[in-house]
Amino acid sequence: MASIVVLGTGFAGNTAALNLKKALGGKHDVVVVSPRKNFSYVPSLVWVGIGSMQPEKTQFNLEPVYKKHGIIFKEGAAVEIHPDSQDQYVVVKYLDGRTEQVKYDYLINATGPKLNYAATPGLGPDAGYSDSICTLPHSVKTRDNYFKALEKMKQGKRQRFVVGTGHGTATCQGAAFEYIHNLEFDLNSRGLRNMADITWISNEFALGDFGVGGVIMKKNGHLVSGKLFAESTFLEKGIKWVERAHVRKVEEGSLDYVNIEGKEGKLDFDFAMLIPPFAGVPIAYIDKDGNDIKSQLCVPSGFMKVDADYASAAKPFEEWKSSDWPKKYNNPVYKNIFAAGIAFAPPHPISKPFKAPDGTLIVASPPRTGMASGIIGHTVALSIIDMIKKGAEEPTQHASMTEFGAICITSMGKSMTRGSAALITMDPVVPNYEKYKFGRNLNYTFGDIGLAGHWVKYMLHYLFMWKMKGKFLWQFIPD
Amino acid sequence: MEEKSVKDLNEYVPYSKEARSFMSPTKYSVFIRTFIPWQLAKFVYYNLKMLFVLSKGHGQFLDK
Ligand SMILES: Cc1cc2nc3c(=O)[nH]c(=O)nc-3n(C[C@H](O)[C@H](O)[C@H](O)COP(=O)(O)OP(=O)(O)OC[C@H]3O[C@@H](n4cnc5c(N)ncnc54)[C@H](O)[C@@H]3O)c2cc1C
Repeated sequence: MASIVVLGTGFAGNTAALNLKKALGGKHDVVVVSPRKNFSYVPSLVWVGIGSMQPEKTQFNLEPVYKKHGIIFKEGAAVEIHPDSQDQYVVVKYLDGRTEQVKYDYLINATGPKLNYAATPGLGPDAGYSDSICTLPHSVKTRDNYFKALEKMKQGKRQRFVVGTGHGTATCQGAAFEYIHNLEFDLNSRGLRNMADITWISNEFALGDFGVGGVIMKKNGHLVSGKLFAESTFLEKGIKWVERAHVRKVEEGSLDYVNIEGKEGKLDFDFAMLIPPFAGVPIAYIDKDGNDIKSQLCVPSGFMKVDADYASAAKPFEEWKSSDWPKKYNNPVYKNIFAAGIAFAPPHPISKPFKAPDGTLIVASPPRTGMASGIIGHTVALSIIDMIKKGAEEPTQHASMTEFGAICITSMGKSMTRGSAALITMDPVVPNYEKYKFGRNLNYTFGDIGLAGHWVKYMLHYLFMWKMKGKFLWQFIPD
Repeated sequence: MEEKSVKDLNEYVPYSKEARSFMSPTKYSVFIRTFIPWQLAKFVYYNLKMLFVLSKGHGQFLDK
């Protein structure tokens, strides 16, 4: 009997666990470890942060789901991984402080990101002056602060809103883009838009970069850059923007930034929602002699090394290749350890990196969206199933971000009759300039804005909640 | 929303950062974005489009 331990219950971990159990049945153990027993549908936290969706609609308890599927659940955080010893195990720390050694034959690290607010002084809702929508508690706090700003506007006090990224290497611009549009839409709906100044700040080289190097798509008989679309949405709604910027520090009511030309600036705000940079979740990796071997398993930012070409990071942007990107997602040294979703270390950014004259790196880091996380979690699960059932020595399945496409639905206002969303499909996620002149297959790379996009976004919320609950026919809903 | 858009277009500044790559929806585009019969057709179209992307680039690839 093999034991597969999955760390994390996000899109990557939950998809992996459900698929593993479905294929392996009662013959093998699937153990899931996570400090939170709730699944969080992160994409809808944008709506929670503006008060247009109740927080509980984005969450559900995983315990009954795992019980029904025969998955063992441990509500605790992985704090140490011992990959070397005869019995490979994870040390799990429970909420009451107890620890347990959980043995594994295969391990999937799907712990997502550590939200690295500390990278920018004054950033973040806990110890800083900005809000965030990356977790449910933060999103609820953001909503409350937004409501306070609304009250002030109702009393005739003009408010300044700043939304974007809080560091030169942050990712998840898409989420911030959704938030700024939902904010504008909500203010409009409340008749308060004329009382607000709204400004976007981001580390993207140009609007619409989204950390995927932007997108060229077919539209109305033209090949057109996504930059034009992103800018047009801001122009239409009177949103000002600052791009190519690294936020140096956030203080009460203001932030300082520098851009790639070295120009320094300051934005004053009454409300700021800034996405932090991500790092790997802090877990210790210890060999059989008790030595710290984290550097063998992780890159300096703490994300787990997989079958990517990390040496390619030292090469210039022009020399990056699709083969730099991982395909199988297992660690080259400890081949029974996999990383899925945000937890795996990309070889380098997708977008071109720039530096401010003082050497500050400014680049939108590569997103690993919910869809990509689900696909990778599923792929890794299928490989492990083959390794167990067929005795395969190496992972048998591959899914590179340079091979598969993505569907991104960017909410721009939540209403079934007046709302809208930008629907963008791209194939592949990482542009492949060796294969396609414009980096992507233009037959599958497309973008549009409208109410139907919102309906799709809304439908996906319920579809994925259904799938993640492992309900009837869940396996037929694509990742 | 449309009024806001017109107001911004009135603020158009030649040679400004925005003017260098200018694009803005016309009244018709803004209207059609929430015109329900058209959007119902788009909804069907989007779902088909997504299925194409999923079938082409989605899922796992067995090693040959
Ligand atoms: C506001 C917002 C909106 C977004 N919108 C979209 C969208 O519209 N579409 C889209 O595709 N993507 C979207 N994304 C991105 C998407 O949410 C992420 O890509 C996805 O959640 C990543 O999944 P994951 O499983 O890798 O990590 P996560 O979802 O972060 O899950 C990580 C899991 O690991 C657990 N964990 C953490 N530490 C430990 C530990 N030490 N031990 C064990 N478990 C641990 C956590 O509790 C959690 O269960 C959005 C992101 C944000 C922030």
